[in-house]
Amino acid sequence: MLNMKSHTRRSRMGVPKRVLLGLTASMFFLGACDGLFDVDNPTNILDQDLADPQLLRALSNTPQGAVSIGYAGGIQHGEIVGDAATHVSTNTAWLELDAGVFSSFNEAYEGVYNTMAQGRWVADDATRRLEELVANPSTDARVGVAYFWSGVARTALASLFEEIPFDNNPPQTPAEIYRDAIEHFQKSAQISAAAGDAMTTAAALGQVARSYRDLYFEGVHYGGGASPQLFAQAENFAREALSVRPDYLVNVNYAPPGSTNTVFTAYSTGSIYNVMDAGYANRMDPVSGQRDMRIRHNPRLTVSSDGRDVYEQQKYDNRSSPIPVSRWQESELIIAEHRFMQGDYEAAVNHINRVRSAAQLSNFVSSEAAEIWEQLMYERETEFFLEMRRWQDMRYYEIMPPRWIPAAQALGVHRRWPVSVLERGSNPYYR
Amino acid sequence: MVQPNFSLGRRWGGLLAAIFLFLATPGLMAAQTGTITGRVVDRTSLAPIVGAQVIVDGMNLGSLTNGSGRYTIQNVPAGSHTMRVVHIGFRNITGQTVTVAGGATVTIDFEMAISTINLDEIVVTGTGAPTQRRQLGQTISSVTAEELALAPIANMSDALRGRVPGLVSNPMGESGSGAPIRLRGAVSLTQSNSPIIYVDGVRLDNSMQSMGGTNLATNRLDDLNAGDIERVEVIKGAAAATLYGTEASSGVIQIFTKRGQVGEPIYSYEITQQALKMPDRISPVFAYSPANRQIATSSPGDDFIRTGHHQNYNMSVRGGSEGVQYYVSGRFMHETGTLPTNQVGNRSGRMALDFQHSERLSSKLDVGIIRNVAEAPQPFWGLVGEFVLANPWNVSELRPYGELFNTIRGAIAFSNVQTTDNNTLSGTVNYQWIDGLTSRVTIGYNQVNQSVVQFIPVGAGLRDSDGVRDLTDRNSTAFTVDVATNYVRNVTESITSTTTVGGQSFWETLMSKRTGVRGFPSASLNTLRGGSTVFAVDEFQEEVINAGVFAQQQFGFNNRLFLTVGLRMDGNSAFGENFGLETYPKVGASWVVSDHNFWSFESMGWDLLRLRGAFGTSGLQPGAFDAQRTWRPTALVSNDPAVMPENLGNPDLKPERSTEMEVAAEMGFFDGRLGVEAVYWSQETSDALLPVQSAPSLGFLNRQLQNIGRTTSSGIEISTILALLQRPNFRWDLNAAYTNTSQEVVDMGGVAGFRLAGARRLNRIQEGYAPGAILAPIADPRNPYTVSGGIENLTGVNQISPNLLKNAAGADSLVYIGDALPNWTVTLGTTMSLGSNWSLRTMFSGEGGFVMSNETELIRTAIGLTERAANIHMELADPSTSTDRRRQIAEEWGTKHPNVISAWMEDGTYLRWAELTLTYKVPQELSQRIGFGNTTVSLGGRNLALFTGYSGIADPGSSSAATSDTENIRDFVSNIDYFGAPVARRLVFSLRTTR
Repeated sequence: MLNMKSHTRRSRMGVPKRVLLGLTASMFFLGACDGLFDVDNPTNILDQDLADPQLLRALSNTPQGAVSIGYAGGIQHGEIVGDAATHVSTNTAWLELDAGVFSSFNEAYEGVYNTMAQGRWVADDATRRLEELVANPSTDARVGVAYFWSGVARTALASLFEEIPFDNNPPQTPAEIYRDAIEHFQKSAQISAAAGDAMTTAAALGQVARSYRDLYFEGVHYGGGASPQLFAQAENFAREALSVRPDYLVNVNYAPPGSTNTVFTAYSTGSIYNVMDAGYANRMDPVSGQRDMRIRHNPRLTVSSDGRDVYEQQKYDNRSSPIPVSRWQESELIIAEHRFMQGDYEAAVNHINRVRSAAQLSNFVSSEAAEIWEQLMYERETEFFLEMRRWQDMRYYEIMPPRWIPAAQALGVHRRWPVSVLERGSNPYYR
Repeated sequence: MVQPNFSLGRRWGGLLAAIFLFLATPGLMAAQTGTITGRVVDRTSLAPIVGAQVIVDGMNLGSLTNGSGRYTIQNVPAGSHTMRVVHIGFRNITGQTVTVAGGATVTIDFEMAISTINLDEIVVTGTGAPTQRRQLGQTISSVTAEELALAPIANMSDALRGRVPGLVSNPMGESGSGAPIRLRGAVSLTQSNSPIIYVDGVRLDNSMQSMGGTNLATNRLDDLNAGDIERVEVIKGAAAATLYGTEASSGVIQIFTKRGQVGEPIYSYEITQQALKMPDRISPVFAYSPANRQIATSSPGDDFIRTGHHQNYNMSVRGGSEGVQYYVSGRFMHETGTLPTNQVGNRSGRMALDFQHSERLSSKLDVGIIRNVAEAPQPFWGLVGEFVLANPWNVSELRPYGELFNTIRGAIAFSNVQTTDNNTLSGTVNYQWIDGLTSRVTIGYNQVNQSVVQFIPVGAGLRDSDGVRDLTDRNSTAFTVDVATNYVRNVTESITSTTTVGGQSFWETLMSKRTGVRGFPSASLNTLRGGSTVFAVDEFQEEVINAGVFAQQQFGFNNRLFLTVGLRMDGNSAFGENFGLETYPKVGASWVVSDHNFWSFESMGWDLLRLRGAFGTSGLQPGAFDAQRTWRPTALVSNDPAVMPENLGNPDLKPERSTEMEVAAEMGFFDGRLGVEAVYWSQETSDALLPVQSAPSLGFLNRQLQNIGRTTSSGIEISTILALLQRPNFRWDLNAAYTNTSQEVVDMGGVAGFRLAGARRLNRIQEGYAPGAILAPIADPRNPYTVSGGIENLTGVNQISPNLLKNAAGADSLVYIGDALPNWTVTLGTTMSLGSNWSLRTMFSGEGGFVMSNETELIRTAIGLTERAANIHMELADPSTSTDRRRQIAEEWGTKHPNVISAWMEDGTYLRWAELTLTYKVPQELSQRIGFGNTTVSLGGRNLALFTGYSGIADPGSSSAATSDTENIRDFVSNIDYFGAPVARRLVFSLRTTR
């Protein structure tokens, strides 16, 4: 009877109390189910897992891979700003590149900056992690290679952008970045030499030479004045590179679908938006009068809607075509250029002919300064076609890109792209 | 070319057939029964009411009235029963008792009173318990099978479009194209704004899937057979969706399918045929040739655009005994679109079983099997792009129409086929512990297996001429467990209490795989093995677990005042590790003022007033792994592994929280002949997830979500129904609805405004503006353009450069152009019934307050392929053109320059003649003479006319560019006309009959 009463009383304790009881029980239930909401993420690597020694192989590939993405993009877009490629459709961003209009927002080079800046950070981060993971970082070839790509990320950024911030810090000038790159390349050369990696050693020294040449021209055109010592240093390091390995060549490699040579996909897959400039088509070597096969392309594909001839480049003939980053011809032409500046025309011609010989072209013969200079310019333009050197040379030698509209031309030939809107919007220095 | 496979799995098909045969077997009826028969008529006009439900309460027995308003319910157990009559547009009849003797027939007739507002309609809220509409403070819109039966629709989205105030959903012109559904605008800036979908209490995949970057995306709602739908309830905002918890702030669509009923098997057949015609909005190509100094024209589309054909066949059977009722249906649908290769097909089967195990125990079992196959027109941007960009001067053997990218005939050889198997299995058990105390457990499983196969044969494309095959598989599952206990009791004679407690858990998984190869050595190869280069390979998995409990208490006072409070508490695997559970409270009130004795306005014709209001919160969780810092494994160098930064991570991540308040008044006038409902709602989303960009120089390019934003939205919804004329042989009803929505991004937590997409898409998330608003550079009004070389030397448009308006810092000024999402919608409809056999129904719907970006025209102009552009090119090239004329041309071109995208934005306001149906109910005697029961024949049309000032090819409101974007971007970049096909006009014929 007592129980019955009790039961009756409980059943009348009221709905709100029962709701409260139910809710409380449910809260205990949810609270007690530790792990109820744990789910696996089998698709990605978690941050804490990066310290796993098993990731050593992946980390050693990461610097080159990280740089590769932005590198091809830099060529793809930078050559349009110069004179090697052009854009024949309606996309505003690309038309702006073509016309030399560097507006505050242009999604074309916006993407180039972002991927290059990321590539630099990732290369540095992976290099640091590698140094922590390997047994002897000062003699480990993988560390030497990692430093090399950290340097390449820097020279690429400095060659395309007005200023370059690192790690959310205030931006540095391209000249400062070139100096930083020199340090990375020299460290790469030092470690690679210790590790017996002659190819990377030579390539790194070649890039030291290239960076000193860049520093020289930075001084000429961007403040500081001409410093002949810098070009002398460039020649010294170029010679050192060639002495280590006279045929050195380091490419940035691509492995679709992880990374793709977008110079090929943009310029050679039937898209008639981005095409090589017709001025480079069927280029005749001024010495032999023969077609210069260093600029490979297909027969005229079609005519664009605005009447321009359309050719597709074939220097890179598939999505995984490697792009040369550091090669012996650059050191030879740096030496030739410095010899020319010193009035040593015979040496200059000799070094030019080493490059021409490798391209199976007949020797250039001249003792006239103007002819030698013209030939040197031709060799650089042709040899480094679609290798991220041309727009830089046009700035250094003050060659106005022909398609720039008058308003852009009025702003001068020395301009580079601004830092991306993303960087400006998120880096505290800019904000 | 890939042949679409429409066959259901053999195993599923066999099972369905076996169950169907078993259920169709007679002999389940009980003995000692009688029959109830009678007629249902309109009280005022005495006209028969067709399709009214006459129900024996508590017995699962019922019947629909036929063309003469007659009904017959057989096998009614002897004894006394309470009858109920329900029909949309009429006041429910309840409580009428009838006594049936064994073997006898009793006749009972009903007269129904018109009621344009039906407060006694039963709806299902978040508690899962049926509730009278009068008890609810929140808005729930419903669409019934009767409304859909006569509508000229092709899919479920068509069924909702124009019938739910505040619902915006605009399809593209390609057959099979789904459209995002938005309820009361967009709630989230970064997450999906698609309402969650339940079918008979089970969560359905609510995502949209693009077809390989084409202009076509499909949604799973459209997989469903509209012929299976008994009722759709649309819950629009956080106030109504509180008990649905996290994931529900964008609203809920609840679909209830048809079920069996006691009686002999009733077979229903439906045949629908539609002819599709593309509106004539693709203008010819005009092209000027400098060499020939002439303009040539062509219309390649004329050779390829075709009349589409839609065919749909439904068959169903329903019946059963007191112990078991069944509903089984099958559907075959196929539609060829107006563009070559575009088609969609659907085969589906559904079975619903209801068991009454004892007086207290009942259960339900539902099985749905669907195969949907869609083939998108090719190439990637649809054929319309090739039609309008083909230059007749570039005609060659390689390019027969002078096509820009791919030849049209080559593109037709491409294929892009999406096959979706969308299967659902669910079971529900109801148990009544004591009178008023019931418990319900629902367990359901929805599995969507989808494959997309893109194939470009060798030699078919000018791009990718070496052949491409790209396969994507996507498999999603959603497992639902829903438990609730409902206790209804009378506290006093005048106070009722309804208590509900319950919980839900959803476990959703998603797996996707992609493999793409190119470089086939031979045209005879068409499998992955034939490709020489792998260009895409990926596999992705994620799972999300959500679990929550809820409780709700409602008190009713004299069945005219109702107060409701409730609370939901949720956990979710996507929340950051530093965040625990989220709680969502709600309150609501409903007051039927006119039920009070003091109500004295009937004499003035005002006979109903209900005031209601609701306040509630709901949530939306971030993506599955947004809280984690992750790195992406990838092969970057010679196929060796590497890692790249992926997601920065945020351990504090939590759901967005939407709080909504709504107040409403429902009024009935003139004996229920005029009904007006007016709703005002206001919603605020706090903790809005916004993507915070870390500097690219810090390595992570993907933006990290943080709960730092706040958005507001508010609006009104006014709908009215008028029974204008009621005569014995003629009835004329009118209905209209208007909604207005205002949205604003109030606070972005310091995040700078950003563009949602690249290229010509200028939609932004920006403080002070609606999400997706267009803020864009404009030409400087004082000096809009510059002509290089002087006017007198102007010989080409490339000498004309736009001058953009600059701000003080020298950057481009961003000027507000307009909103991307419609700010208002309007629907107008009317139904006329002549006698008992003829009816005419039509509907107009429109939207406004947004701009369309006419990219198609911009690109055509820039390339010089419009009449205007071609003439300008020719005039400028003509030495005899005067300087004055050159100045005019410079003005014309310079003030609407192709490089100034904002100059190509147009007002998108439109009114569409959406539906028209003329229906003839075949006299029953005639129908029976040929062996059928109730038979209707309908002739009508859909999308019959478009009234708009917009000049583009695509329909305003539809976006033909955003399908390749992620879902949240697609929500806002919804106003792009980018070579999409216009929505087809449809001539519809249908025949429905039962036996």
